[in-house]
Amino acid sequence: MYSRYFIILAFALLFSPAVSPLLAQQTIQELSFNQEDGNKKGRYVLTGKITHLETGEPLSGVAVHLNGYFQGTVTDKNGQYLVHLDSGNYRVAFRQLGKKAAIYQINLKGDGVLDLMLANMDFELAIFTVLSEEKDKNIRNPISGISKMNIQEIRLVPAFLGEPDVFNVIQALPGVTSVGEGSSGVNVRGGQADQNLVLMNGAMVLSQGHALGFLSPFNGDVVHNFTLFKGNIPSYYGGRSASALNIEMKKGDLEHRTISASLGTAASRLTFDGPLVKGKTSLISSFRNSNSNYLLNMANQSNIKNSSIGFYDLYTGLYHKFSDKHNLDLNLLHTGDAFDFAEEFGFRWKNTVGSLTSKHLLSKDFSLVGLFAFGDLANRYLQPSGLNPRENRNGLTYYQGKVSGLWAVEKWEITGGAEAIRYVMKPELGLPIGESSNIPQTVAKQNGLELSGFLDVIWNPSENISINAGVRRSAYRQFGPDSVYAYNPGMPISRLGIVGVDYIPEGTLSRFEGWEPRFTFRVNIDSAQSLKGGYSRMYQYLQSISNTSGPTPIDLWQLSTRYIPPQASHNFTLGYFRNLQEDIWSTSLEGFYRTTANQTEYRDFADLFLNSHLETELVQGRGLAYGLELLLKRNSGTITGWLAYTYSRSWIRTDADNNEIKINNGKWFPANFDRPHIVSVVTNFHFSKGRSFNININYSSGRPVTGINASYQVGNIMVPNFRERNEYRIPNYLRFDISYNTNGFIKKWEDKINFSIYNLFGRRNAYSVFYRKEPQVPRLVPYQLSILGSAFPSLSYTVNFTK
Amino acid sequence: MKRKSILIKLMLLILLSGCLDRLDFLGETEDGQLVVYGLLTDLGEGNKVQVSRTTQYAARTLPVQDATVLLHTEDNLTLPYFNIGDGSYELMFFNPVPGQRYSIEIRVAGEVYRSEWARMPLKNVQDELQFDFGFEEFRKQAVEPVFTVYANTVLPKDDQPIYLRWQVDETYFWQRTQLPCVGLCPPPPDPCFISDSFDPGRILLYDSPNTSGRSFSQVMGKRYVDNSFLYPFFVSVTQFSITPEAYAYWEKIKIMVNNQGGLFDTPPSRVSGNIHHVEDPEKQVLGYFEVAKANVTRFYTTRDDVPIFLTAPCQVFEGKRADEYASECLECEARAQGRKWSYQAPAWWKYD
Repeated sequence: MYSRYFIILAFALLFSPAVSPLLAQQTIQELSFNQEDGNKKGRYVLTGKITHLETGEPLSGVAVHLNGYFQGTVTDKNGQYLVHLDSGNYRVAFRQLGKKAAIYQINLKGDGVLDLMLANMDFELAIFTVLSEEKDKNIRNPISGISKMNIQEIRLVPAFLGEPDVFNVIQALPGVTSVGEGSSGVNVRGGQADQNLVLMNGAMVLSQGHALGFLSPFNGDVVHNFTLFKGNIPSYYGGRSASALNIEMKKGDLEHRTISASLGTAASRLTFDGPLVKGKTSLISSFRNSNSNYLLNMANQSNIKNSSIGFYDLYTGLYHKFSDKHNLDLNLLHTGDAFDFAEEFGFRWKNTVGSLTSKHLLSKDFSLVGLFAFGDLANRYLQPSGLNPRENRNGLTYYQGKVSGLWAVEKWEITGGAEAIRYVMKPELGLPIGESSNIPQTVAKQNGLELSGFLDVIWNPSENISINAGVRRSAYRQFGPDSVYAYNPGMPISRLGIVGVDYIPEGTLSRFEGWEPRFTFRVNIDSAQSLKGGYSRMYQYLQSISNTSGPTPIDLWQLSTRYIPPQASHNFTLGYFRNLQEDIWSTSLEGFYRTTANQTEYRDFADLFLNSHLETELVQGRGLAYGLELLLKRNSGTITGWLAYTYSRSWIRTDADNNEIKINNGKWFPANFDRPHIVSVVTNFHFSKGRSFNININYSSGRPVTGINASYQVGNIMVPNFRERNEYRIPNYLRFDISYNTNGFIKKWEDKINFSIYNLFGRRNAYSVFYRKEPQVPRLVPYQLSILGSAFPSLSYTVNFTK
Repeated sequence: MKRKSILIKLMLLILLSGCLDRLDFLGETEDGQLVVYGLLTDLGEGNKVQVSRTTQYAARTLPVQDATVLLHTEDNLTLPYFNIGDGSYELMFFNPVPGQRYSIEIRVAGEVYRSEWARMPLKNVQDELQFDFGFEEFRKQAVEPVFTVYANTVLPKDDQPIYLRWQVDETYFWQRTQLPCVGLCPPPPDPCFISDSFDPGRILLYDSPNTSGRSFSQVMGKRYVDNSFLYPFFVSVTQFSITPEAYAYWEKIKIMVNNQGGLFDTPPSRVSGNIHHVEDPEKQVLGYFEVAKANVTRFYTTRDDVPIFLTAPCQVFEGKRADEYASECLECEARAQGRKWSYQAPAWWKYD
């Protein structure tokens, strides 16, 4: 009942014409900088200091945009900024959340100093820009299906536990959904969660499950921004068949030291940000820890009292500037999770990702970036009681190296390079717990190497046309040692069909390779409209294997083998983009279509743990995803936000020759995460002095489940007989979240308060359906399980000490 | 304190328990699917085959009364099962031999169905039963008296794989009330012997190839302590030594029955049995034909073992009219409430 009023209110406020007159176009001032000594250079410096109009204090974190794009430059603690630019004309905008933006048209023919003051926005001033990007970016960006946001925008979306989270925001974007609360990962444009390439500063991050899947490993205190490519992926990214998400982490401040602490009802954070050597070397480090375990200890129910839940994460970034042309960036992310339910079962998983990146501007037109990264996953599943008390362990270590060069001239940007990823999967272990006489079990896993070369060309023949063409050549090798099973050629690959096994100690066991062409175009119809389209071919040699309803943090990762060929997708997109009222409104309509070969499904009752021949538990087939995305976004004003509607379908069809292992007799069936209709509304109300009130509404069709068509008795047991896989759907999903951000009580501490309520109306959204026998009821009764069954308020208080 | 309690409950509710809600959808079921469950053991009794069909909206299947059920042996013998009513067919005067293979054939409505051959395993192992009465959270979130049965099982030290399934049943005595009378009184009413599954829904399985431990202890079942314990209460634990195929079938059933829809649950799937239409193998028959070597271990408890005071609901009072007594005091059927009952004591009913 209340939810209906909230929808109406949110829509009314977001789209009310009453506030439109308040919105006016920014005044653009024109400036020219000329070289006084007459020594003309090809490249000049634009620098300056930005201060607060009312207080005169320097403003840090003001974003500098050039010709509509944010390129990573923000003011430091002194309010100073510096950009190196070729000579020419630039539209430079200075923007910060809560401040009135300043926009200049600059003719740069010499080094320039531009100091300016930004004023607070309030109701009287009315114009309020929350975008870190230029508002016309959706018109001018050459790639369709791309979403980019910075941490200020991420913070405006109410989140579970009040923790600003990239994955929470992504799920409010068109085309993105998940299986449900608590599942790790997201589904982008009908793709499986493991078909998303997730990068942290360019380094691959395989495990995104944190806090039982409710949060991602990326602590909002150290996230700078993210870019999500939803189908058209540049050729310098590869290895996944659906999407790519790159999360840029903050770099430490080179001038000022800040220590911030945040205490919340569910988690606490401590962050250090500052120079180690002023102007040269900086460090940013943030530690987050859950603090809800004490609540469990106070419970009366014994199994809950004996349970424990906990998570932590640590991010450290070390940045060193050798010169204005050369810098080095060292990043390390480590997360840990533990969950024990009494003496019955428990999970542990740890994830470490580290990277070292060197960026070198070799000439005014050419830059080189080198990256070395490693990652390590270690999962444990414990079953300390029962007949067979034991612990299962699995994991994966990988090493990633990448070199890319960018050559940029007036109408061309050419990126080329090579990438190598070495995967070393840890043996899967089954270890007895306690004094059990069980014998430890070990199952060796695969090793592999993925090599790629790529070339990406952006050509802007005119202001209204942009073409991005690229190609990636990927090659994969699986190396020994490994045990390769032989199967009876007349039978399906199954346990019963095993006729022998070969142990191959070294050398190449299997190899796959292919060309991955990428192409996108943009045609501007006028300054407010553009048409974009694209095609991407992508191969995927690593996939997660799961037979649970949704991805879990402890899912196995599996490399391609002789019996598990790589997934290969064709992605097509076409979109129309239109901005209105001087870019105050952005709208887009995009369609997508993807086919995937060798998409992996688990067989019924798949036995995935400690299995040396996983191919007997899997079946591969074709994936098909298609849909439409509609986005209506308000970029500025006292009320900002967006409405996103997605129609998306995701289907699977197994191709096995043998009927025994086909799913649903080889017919197309909807994937676990197929949700045809998805609507999300994000509304932000901006008040003076940095306060904001935010609403997030999320609606989607219920996901498919497998239902029963009969029940019968075998012995004393009532047995459900299930119909075909994913034939039914759980009830539709609807959730309202709100949050309020405000300043704290002590101004000099720069303290902030965040109050949020996730699932405001306590709606019991179904995660799954199961059946059980009830007394006096002559059939099995369906029940829905809701992971979060009530409203979840959270409060956090953050202080910042800056020196 | 109250505020803290509310906060704790809120957190726990959300973080751990989630919420369960009964659904109205998915209620309809298909009717008419053939269901066959047969159990063949060397116990010398109870070799029955149940034949029924699924019905719409109901878990209880509709008995098939006009089926023909035959047992095939590997010696080319064909033995008929006798129709004993209610969809039950019983094999009489035949003792299966461990190590031999058997199969059943069902003819119904002009269609012929046949099970796969199953070989009766050669051995059982010994169970040592224990029980205790304790207090714990069982049916609700409050401590209550619970009767628990345990079994210690020791396997022989040989390499022969063994697959076990247990079935635990209870049988208790219930004394019907003899109403006061004057003059020529009727004889005292026969007592009731009421039988049921001890812990319905609990599936007890063991496979030696995947559990290298040779001795283990497990809970066989739990039950709320009520006035069923007023009189002797027998627990019968039947251990079935089953085939690997039957074990795989029961393991899948166990996954399905224990599925709670959680994050880490295996998604549900159809469990295929070992009985097929002879001409169209795709035509599904629900159920299983199970061949098992079996042994039974029993024990009993009396009121003296129960650590709580049990109220007898059927005490006789002078002047209390017959219709004022609870129906369970007078009628076995009323007491049994759908469970099996008899006026006759089972053959093994012996206690000190």
